Amino acid sequence: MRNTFAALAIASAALLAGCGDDDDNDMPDAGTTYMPTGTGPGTSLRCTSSNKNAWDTFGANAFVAVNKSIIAKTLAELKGISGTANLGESFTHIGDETKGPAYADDAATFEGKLAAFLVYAYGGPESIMYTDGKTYTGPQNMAAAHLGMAITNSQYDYFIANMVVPALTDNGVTSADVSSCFAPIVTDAAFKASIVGK
Amino acid sequence: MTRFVLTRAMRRALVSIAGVAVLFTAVMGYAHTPSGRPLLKWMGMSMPQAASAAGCPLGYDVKQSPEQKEAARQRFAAAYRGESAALARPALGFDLEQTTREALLEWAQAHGVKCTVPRSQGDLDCADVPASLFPGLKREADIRNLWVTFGADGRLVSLIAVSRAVEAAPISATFRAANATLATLAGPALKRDGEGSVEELKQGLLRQASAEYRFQDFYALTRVTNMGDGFVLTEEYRALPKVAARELPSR
Repeated sequence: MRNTFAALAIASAALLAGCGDDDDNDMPDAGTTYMPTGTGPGTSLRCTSSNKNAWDTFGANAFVAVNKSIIAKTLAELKGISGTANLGESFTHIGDETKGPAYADDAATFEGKLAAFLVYAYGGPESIMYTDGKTYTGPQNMAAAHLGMAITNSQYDYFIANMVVPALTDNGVTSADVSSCFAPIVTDAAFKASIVGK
Repeated sequence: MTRFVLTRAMRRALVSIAGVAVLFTAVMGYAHTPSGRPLLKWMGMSMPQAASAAGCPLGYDVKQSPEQKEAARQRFAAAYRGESAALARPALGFDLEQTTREALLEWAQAHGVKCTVPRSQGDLDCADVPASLFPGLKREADIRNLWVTFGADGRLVSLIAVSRAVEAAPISATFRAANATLATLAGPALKRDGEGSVEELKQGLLRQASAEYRFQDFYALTRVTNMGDGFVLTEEYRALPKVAARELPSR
């Protein structure tokens, strides 16, 4: 029930935000009437299953579920026997501003910002109302957000391969759709460079 | 109806207790806000867990005690234990619950492998381990990071190996070899998703194949991923703590 309300809240925010994006997307895909919702980097990606971008294919419910799944898998990893061995310590400092400004957000804010970023990056609106009832903004400076975290290539790869992709497939996203409308963002060299080694 | 009469002293005591409780709640609440972090840190200085000053308020970056590690193993086992015992527990040639920390470090030193002790919970992090150090396992990909965990008795309880290569072929071959070894020595996989062939992995970005092995005393997972700028193989080998017969899952 809580997720349903959250999904409705996000969907409402999406509709509202969508009204403001008309100027950026006033042309449908060639030969179709499909007009993407957002303006983020993944707006132009097309899922194999639908020929629409990820947000317009899966919608708010799925984005909430995937975001919560990523958080749950990450926490399970950190609380497990391996602790921070695979993911590094960056996640453990969330909410501890004494470690640097990139860690200033508490866990709930981090989760909301991650959701907003995913929604925006994959073709959704620029801001959302998340399950905590707060509004978060999607466009974020990734380099600044990861400054001082010293995330390694191995940690990034481990996070994407063992947290993010399983979170997507666990929630019903097919391998073909993972490849076509999710992967290009997180495997993009420039995007990765904005996170790794900062 | 009986009427309770509070004396002035009792009323004062109750008001004082309530006041202290409200003040404590307010201070702790403030301490957990971003602006109250220095206060939380100062308070943490007197707590044993915060011996490493300025540590994570959640405590994840503090080394786990042997009891905490064992509890984490038990939680993992409860969630992932299979029904039957593994025929054997292959783990890159090491013996789970036998190989000691000293023996592994000697092996690493003898082969020029550099292992470090992470500041947090992981027990050893060995980097750049050549495939040639595992004769007989048909590995073609070098291991970029080998994360090793030991139990309270200093013996090996888990290995996580992450291998990476620019080309799909060595990673695919190593994925298939690892699964062949596991299936032959431990027993069949509980769940398989994809074959991990070069053709399959090259079908798209983040294309994965995986196999999961669940036994009463052993857990293993192999997962190969097309990362776009290369191919990554993750292998997990974990010894599960023994359980009393009455605690085993019923058939």
